[in-house]
Amino acid sequence: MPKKYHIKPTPAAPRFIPVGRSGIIDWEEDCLKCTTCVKKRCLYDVYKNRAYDARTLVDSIDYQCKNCFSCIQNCPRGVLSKTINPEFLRMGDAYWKPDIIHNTWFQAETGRIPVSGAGYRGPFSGPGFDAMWTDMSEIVRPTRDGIHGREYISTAIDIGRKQHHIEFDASGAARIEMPPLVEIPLPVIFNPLPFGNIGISVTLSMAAAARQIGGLMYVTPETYAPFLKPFMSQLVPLIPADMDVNAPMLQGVRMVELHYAPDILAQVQRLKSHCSERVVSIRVPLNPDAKTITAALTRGGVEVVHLFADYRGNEFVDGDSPRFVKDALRDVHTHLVNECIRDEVTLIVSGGIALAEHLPKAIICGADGAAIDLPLLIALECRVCKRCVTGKSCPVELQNLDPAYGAQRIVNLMCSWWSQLIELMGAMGIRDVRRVRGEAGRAMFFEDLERDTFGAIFGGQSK
Amino acid sequence: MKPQIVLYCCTNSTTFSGEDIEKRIPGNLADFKISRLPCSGRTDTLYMVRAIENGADMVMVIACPDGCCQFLEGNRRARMRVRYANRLLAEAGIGDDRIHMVNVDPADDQILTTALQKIVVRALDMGPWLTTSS
Amino acid sequence: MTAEIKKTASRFRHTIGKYRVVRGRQCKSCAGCVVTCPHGVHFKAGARMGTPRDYLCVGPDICKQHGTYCVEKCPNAALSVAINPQIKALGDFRWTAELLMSTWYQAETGELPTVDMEYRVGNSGGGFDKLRLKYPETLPSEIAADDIDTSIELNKREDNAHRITISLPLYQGGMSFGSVSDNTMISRAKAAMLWNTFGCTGEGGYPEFLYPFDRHMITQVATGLFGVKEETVQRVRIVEFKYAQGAKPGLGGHLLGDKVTERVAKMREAVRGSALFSPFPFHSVYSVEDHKKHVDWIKAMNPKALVSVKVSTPADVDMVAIGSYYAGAHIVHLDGSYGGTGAAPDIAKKNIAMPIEYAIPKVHRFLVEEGVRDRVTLIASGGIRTAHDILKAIALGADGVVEGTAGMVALECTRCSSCESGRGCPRGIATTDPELAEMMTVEWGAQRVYNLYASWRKQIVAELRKLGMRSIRELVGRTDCLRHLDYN
Repeated sequence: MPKKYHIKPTPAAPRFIPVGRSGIIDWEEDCLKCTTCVKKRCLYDVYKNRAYDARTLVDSIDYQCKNCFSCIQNCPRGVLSKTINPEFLRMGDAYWKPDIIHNTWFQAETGRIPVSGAGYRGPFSGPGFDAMWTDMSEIVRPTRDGIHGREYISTAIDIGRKQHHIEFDASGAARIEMPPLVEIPLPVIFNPLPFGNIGISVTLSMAAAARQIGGLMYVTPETYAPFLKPFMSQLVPLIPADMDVNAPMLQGVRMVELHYAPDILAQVQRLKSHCSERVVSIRVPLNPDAKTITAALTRGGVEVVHLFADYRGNEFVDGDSPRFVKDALRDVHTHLVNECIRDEVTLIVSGGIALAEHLPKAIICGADGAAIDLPLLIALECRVCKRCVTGKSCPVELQNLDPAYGAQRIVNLMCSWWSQLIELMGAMGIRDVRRVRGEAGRAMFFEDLERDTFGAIFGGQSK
Repeated sequence: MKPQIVLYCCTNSTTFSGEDIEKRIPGNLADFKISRLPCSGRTDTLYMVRAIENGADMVMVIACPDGCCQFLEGNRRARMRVRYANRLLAEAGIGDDRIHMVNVDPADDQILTTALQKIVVRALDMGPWLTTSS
Repeated sequence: MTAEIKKTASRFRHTIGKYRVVRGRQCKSCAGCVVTCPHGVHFKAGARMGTPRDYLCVGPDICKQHGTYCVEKCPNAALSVAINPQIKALGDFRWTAELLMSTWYQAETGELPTVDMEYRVGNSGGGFDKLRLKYPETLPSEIAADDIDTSIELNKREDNAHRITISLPLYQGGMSFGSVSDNTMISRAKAAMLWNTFGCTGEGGYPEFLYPFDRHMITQVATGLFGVKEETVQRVRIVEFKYAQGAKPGLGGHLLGDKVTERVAKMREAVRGSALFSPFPFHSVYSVEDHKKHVDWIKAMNPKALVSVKVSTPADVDMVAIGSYYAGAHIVHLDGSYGGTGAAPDIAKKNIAMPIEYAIPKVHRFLVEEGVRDRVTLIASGGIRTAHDILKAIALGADGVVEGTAGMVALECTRCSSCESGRGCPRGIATTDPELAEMMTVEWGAQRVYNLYASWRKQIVAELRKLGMRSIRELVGRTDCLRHLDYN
């Protein structure tokens, strides 16, 4: 049996006091100076450890407070009160919500799965990935006990062209040449970041993290520099189709990716004839044409298609109602299945993958693996303030990041995602992530449940 | 070097959250740092003094109109604390006009702009405290 | 303690309310406001005025109408009132601040709040929160409140096992020894006994302090079989198999080593300090036949016991339910994915298995079609927060519900969700820290839970009268008594 895959987390405390949800307000002038002050009795010592960072204007109490209200309710004169920190609500945007950022920071700091008591706190369902649930197995089907390592659950995928069948000649030797495959132990590739204060330190953090988890990372000609040489087997150059095959950034890599263009098959041919051992992937924008393009590329022998949506998970269309990545992806996947060519090509998807659960959900919708971007930046303490987009300074000084520390934060995040992937797969009763692909039967979709339940009871169309 | 100005901004009764500061104070005369607070009463004396200590030349607390605080008395308390913080700074020889406060008025947006202009002018007048205090 | 509502105020000095009342320095302690306010917000403490009990304040609008607005009447203009900005930090989509505050109020008084707050639904945007009760168009004939029956029968198989009728259409969810304080466990058990319903030991063993409540306890047999003995199975009238739990369906449990104290280890028949895993699933059950073997095993030890099967809500939950019935279960307990009281991975709570609102009608319909609905009791849990949730769950097809979080909220849980952090619950509910556990007495806790149930029962009775029904049993599966805001 091969060695079990494992990611080891090491706690990596934030460099800057993170922006917290809470907003404690203190009328200190009314304080009675009780000897048993409620501040001393805080279970989490948030008052004792209170610190104010006057550079970033952040108060540690907002991050440390657990919202139990005990001090507020017990202070004799009601000197303390609290509400929500407006800086917290301003973080991110409509898709990358403050809670997602917070959740990611926790995982990058600890490497642990976020755990909480007292039930679920969110909305009933929601847009995008929140409109689906994964299934679990009860009594009549076996579940897998993966999280405590008692049953091995594989999260590895093979990237490349899969043979439909093998032919043998009279002597029993395989008549066809086996195409190259790149195996990664976690179905995640690091995507180029959509924005951010990206310098050498961020790029190095990502590359080092990719090496530690045995993964891959895309690199563009603009970001490639000789300092990445030690990481060549982790890199997937994302290049223009006509790039010189002798360019330094292509030497020693296992896979390259080309931007889609109409004559792309000829360029793939050119690259393959130069080095047949290298997997060639095509990056195709997700839009209503993506399914016919992907089918045509697959028929043309392409090994990998990377379908990308925008960083909020929307397909690229003019108009107000783009489909979300999960729906656009299901469309492509189903089309390939109907054409009986799905198994031959590897599909990578990116755009809007923000939380650990989005990974298995994207795979259920038809991807083999996913490429992620912003979560990596958030793991490095990014607050998604986008000041960098307008050339302003970064509040968490990403330019001064220590790459070893940055890599550990990313590794921690991936460790947590890996554990959560295993949790969901264990509950589904699936031991190999390759088998999760397209398994819509192991998921429940909001529209279906709503139609079959309330639609059947209350009749008619929902408003 | 441009004056460094820290704004503590109650987000409750003003729509001002810093984005349009360049429109209000054209000419890029100062560097603003903005801290949005749930109530102006959240501004501790320590906050303001620490901001000055960390290189800010001026601090301004932007609060609701009198009688409009959602915590009912936050803006009154903020005013007391501003006074106290200025006194501390004066005792330290840094000046007694480094910390300003304005009660905005939703009906009259000009009040805020005027206050911002005033603090920039004052900052340019006084110059950085690190040299004035020595 | 007798079975009656008694006012049981908060353990804390200030209860969080919808409004914030502030007394300024101008106050001359004339106590005029004590007379003005009919709600008891203002009171005199010695020579001075006490900090206003602002959670009782009904707000300026109502008071202005009735001429009882203290702010206007104060001769020194010392008072001010506004919506309390603190409630922005309280609650979440499922348990809104108003839901928490109104549940606290019911636990304190046994009555619905006088303050205008939404006490029926949360803000989750789906499921129960989009369902409303629908009353007959013609006014039903008057039924006296005393004539309305809220009891349900738990054994519908009519076999040799106990006949058990509980007075409320609800019993309590299991909370293990070691996950909540002893006082929390006893308080809940006592309230269950006073209301002639059931508490549940959870999977952490059957502690001796619950023996006085034997007749009103359910003991749980879970995958780890912790503390399960012939003797404990024989103590009770209902035994519950926990196949899965809604908060972490398909996942096992993991009790950290430092939580396995001497007492917990003894109760679970384990070694102190070593982490304990509850595997998932029962490694001896992979089919309905295996499951039947389990049920028979309990029946061999305690032939008169009712067997409840607690399952989560997978896509094929209807198959699981019918299988459980044929294996001999009396009660099929569906635990939906949004509930749970203990610590669970956020990813599991949010994503695995379907919400209970979908599972109830699915299972109910299927059992009806199979012709066995009358022979099994269907219990729902996992997100039942209010009396109205109970009514909706029953109208969707359940016989009754299991309550967990609401009872914790009655004990002043704020749902801060930090049950697992540091020393445990900062409010002394879900903790084994002796100092924190002392924050609460059994007398107080039992009365709070009792009061909440009392208020719920009154609401159930009132709604049944409006529906023209004499018994809660008439409501089962009556989806025509519901409407959904998204459908015409």
